[in-house]
Amino acid sequence: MSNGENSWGVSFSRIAWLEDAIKQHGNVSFVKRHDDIVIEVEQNDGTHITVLCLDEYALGKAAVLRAFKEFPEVNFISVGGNWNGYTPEAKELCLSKQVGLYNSSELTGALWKDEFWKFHYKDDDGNPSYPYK
Amino acid sequence: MNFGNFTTKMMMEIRHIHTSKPELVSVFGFGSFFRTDTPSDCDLLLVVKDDSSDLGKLHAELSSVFLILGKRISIDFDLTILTEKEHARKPLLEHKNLIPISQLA
Repeated sequence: MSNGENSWGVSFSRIAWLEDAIKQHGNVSFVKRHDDIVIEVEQNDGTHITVLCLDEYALGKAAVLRAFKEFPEVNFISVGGNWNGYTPEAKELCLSKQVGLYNSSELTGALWKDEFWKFHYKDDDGNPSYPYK
Repeated sequence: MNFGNFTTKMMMEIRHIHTSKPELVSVFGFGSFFRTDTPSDCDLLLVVKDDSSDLGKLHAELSSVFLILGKRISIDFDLTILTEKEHARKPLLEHKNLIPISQLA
């Protein structure tokens, strides 16, 4: 259910969870939320990240393009919990723009990286592994 | 047509939206709204044309029109909007059980 304060239907519980998780991260020195679903983050080395908090089971290319249009300053998109994910088209688009696109299982690892948009887990063969839908 | 809480009136409303958005290819229903008496919201999959001129704008417009409809009929719509190519990979858990609501002829 939407809390009525954003046009993406993201609930307050999802927003609060993400904000808290970022605040507790060991490589984060500053956090400030605005526009309900946008979280400004500074890593310990001063790198600035603007996170968009979404809650999508399968985030597609159209949603990414809408996010770019509505929040051009965003360079990190969170799709929500471990069960959520994104399509290969959405990931490729974000990688091409140096925008991080992650679910919560990837969040911690990405925030440790300077080039946070490049983070990924690897499969048994050493290839990138993503929570694709 | 009668699936769970889905009514003919809702189907007509959604088909009306569909006729006003030529880049919208199909609308499917899935989830608890169509299967149980105690749904939390109404999950819809909207499939849009791969070559839509402005996918971001289309996503925003569809989200807005379903938000307005939801407020009018007191239903929370939870939309998943995918292109035809994305839809072809059947990414949803319930993809095999999608309920067609509105499709282009």
